[in-house]
Amino acid sequence: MAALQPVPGAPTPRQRLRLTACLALIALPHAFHLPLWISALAAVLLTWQAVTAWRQRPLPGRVFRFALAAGAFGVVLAGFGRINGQEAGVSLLLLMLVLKLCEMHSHRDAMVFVSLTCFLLVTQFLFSQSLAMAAVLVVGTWLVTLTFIDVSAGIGTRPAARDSARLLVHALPVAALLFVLFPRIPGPIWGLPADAGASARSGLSDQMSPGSIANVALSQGVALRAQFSGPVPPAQARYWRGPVLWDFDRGTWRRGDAAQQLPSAEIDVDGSRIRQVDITLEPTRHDWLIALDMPLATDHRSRQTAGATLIADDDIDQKTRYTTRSATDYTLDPRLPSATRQRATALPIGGNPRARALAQQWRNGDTSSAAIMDKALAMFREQPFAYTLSPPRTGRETSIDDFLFETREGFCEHYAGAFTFVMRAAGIPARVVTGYQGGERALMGDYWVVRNADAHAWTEVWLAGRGWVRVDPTAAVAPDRVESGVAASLSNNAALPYMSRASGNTWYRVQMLWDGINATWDRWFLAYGPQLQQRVLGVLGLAGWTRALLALTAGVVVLLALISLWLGWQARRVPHPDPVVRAWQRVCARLAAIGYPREPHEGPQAYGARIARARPDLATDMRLLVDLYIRQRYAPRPDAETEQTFIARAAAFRPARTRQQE
Amino acid sequence: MLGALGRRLETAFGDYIRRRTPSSRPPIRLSRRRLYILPTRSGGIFALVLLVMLLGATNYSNSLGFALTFWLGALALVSMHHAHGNLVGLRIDSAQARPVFAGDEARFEIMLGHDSRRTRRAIRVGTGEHETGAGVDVAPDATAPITIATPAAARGRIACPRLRLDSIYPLGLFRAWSWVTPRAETLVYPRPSGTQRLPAPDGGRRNASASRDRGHDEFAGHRRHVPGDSIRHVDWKASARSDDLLIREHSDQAGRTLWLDYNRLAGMTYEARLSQLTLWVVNAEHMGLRYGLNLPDEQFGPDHGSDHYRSCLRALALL
Repeated sequence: MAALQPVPGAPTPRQRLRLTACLALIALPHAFHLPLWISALAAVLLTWQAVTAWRQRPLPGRVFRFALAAGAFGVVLAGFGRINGQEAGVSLLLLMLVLKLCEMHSHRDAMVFVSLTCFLLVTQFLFSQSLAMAAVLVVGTWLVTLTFIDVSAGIGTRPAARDSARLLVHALPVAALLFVLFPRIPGPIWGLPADAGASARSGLSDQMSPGSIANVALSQGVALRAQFSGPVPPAQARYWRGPVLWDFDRGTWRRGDAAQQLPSAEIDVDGSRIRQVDITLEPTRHDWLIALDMPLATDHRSRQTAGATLIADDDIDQKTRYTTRSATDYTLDPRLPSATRQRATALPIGGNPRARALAQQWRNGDTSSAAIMDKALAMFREQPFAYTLSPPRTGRETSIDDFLFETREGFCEHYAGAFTFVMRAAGIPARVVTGYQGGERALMGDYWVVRNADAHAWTEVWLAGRGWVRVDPTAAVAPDRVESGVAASLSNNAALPYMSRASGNTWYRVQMLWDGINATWDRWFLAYGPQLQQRVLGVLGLAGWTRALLALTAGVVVLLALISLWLGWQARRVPHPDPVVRAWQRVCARLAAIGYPREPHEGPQAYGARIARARPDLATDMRLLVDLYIRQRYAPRPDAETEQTFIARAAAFRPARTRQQE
Repeated sequence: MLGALGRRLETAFGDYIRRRTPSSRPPIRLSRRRLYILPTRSGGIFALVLLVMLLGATNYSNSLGFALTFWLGALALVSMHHAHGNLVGLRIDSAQARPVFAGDEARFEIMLGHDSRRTRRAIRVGTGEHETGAGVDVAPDATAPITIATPAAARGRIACPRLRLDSIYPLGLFRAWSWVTPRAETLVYPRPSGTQRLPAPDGGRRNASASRDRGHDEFAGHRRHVPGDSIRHVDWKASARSDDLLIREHSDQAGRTLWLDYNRLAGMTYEARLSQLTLWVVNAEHMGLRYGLNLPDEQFGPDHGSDHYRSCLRALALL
């Protein structure tokens, strides 16, 4: 069959120019995240291609092309030290696509080029999936469709633009159906490269040292968005639980691998205050799920640790939406397992002797754990401790002593860390809990925004009969922190990000409005993965893959059939509105049937004259018909009588196939 | 082994298509039943790219990646229906060709048209053996002419070849095509050839050499070279000043009657006789002579002019 496949020829220089423009436009957003030298190199090569096409110069030869490709390969390898991975891979793809422009010898070359340009388009979404990228998607898809039409049909830019827009609109419902119903498999399939995802992310980590949370608090970004069903707890009760840190060493609190083996937390729910919260968590590249106060259950595949934190089965590499049920009145671990107690009182052998001595002194004076706790909080409250984002540096080995007795300035991690240390030194089980505190209501939409600036650390102390009790030593120093947020509690908040400082002015409101739009986008579009899909399918009554696939197939078939019907309806015969023209067309059709079709350039008179010459037997009829037709169609005042005569004559006109002998 | 199987399949498929496309008289409207559609090789490559994109979107759990992949996939599916709709309802309004001499190409002029409001894009018409290059657009209420050349090997009638209408519009991912055989034919006159000189006019009042001698003396003007003219009669000097080869004409050749007689060509094969007669008819007509054609069962003329010329050639083609 190969011989029977006529295809359009090689792209013309004009088409090559348009292909270059298509690639340049689609590659443009990559300039924001690829290294500058790659963007510059691509721009130079694209300009060279554009000039070559514009001046209609011949394409470079095979050897030169090969040298260029090898050069691009070498440049990427030299610049990144590798050719795989997100940035290096995309850079290589971009350069190879630019060089493919030198190799446009056939229609198929152009088609391969446009197909790979689609691939370049999709790589942009690895770097960002914001709402702006949705616009990039629409424009990019339109561009590749336009270019496909241009190289395949060559019908000019304006009809191609119209036709591509029509195709895109027709394809949209099918695409939507595929998006919702096509079975999603939980990724990753082959693992993510080390530099996957957007760069420069910030958020909680699985360890805490002086300054680490203050760093998080300085970043602008949103950590999570939450939607409460039911009443929203007041600000001082909005503690969002994250990873629990068990192990202290050399000034750093760590989650600790061994702590993960401890028996799971036991939660007794007193009272009936169970709150359901829908949370959309920004990607963290960590496995914990943030939840309000004390999480009891979630619909995300996860387990609960000894620290009562929810740990997802996979790292949160994308925006994730899940529902949690949380308690605010509860008893956590009424009986403390001995392994947990041991872990929660462990301290390194030496270091911070003054803090240990202070704890020992309190222990000797009073045996009640609650009383020791109060003494420590009173120390923070009564002695000149200050709450600041930029505390003085402390020694690594002596961080607690330096903070408690020398600098006395710190952010929440200083207070929580020192407090927990002192409690452990006094023999009271204690642990550091990190997470967020507070959050603000969005201006648009019924949800709450928790930002990285709300990152917080506090302490949980185990008391007999009460279980783990939350103690927030920061609140003892700066009560405003818990009630009104970081900005209100810092004396000099210039270092804080704008969003956590300003509230009430117009720009802030615009930002919050934009956040609302983004939140909707995140919640319904970006978070649509295997888990959300299962829930949506359940709501649609399509639980189970068999049903979903059947519905998908049926839906696509129906949509395509509708498009086909629509196209068929457009391709239907459209009778001419004027009965005179219809009658004339019938005459022409009958003449064509006996071998005398009207040439496209022939007017009625020329046609009639030609028929009369070729077929003298029809001359009289033709003269009359042409005469009536022209009178009726072109005369200033047509009259009904002539029209009837013409139509009747035309209907009666049945030319014989062979010449009649007269 | 596989090649042989492939050839047999191709032959069987060709036979099937032939059975399904009986020749019919124009106008022929392409119906759904006659249309075929398959992905092109570029469509296959595109599908491969989409598959990789789908795997990538799954691996990175990338919602926008899924959206792009599904939109492009949907575009491909929809473009299949557009490719189909681009051909459905297309009409072959007429197929006509002028008579030709054997050995030349019969050039069938195919008129495409349709009744719908939407312009049909990038339609290519070919015979399957050789492509016709770029496609044509057929606007509403317009017709587009396409010429299909087919070699006319033997005299007689030549039918319009089976035509393949195809288009990869809109995206080049799918090819829709249809086979049609318009019932149209044209005459193939015998190839004008032979070595014999034109017979002497009017029962040989002059012999051939005298005619030639005098002919060279009485120059009457130039005319364009036609097949069958002897190269010796070309006026090279005059031709150099013109775009055409020019033949010297002589006054004594005009205004006489000559008989082109089949029976005078004894000793030649049948086809050679017809070729010789054709050459004579062509030359006599171009020289403006009055000539008659004497065939075994029929006589034409003596007369001159294009009607007479065509009648003679037609008789020779169909003898």
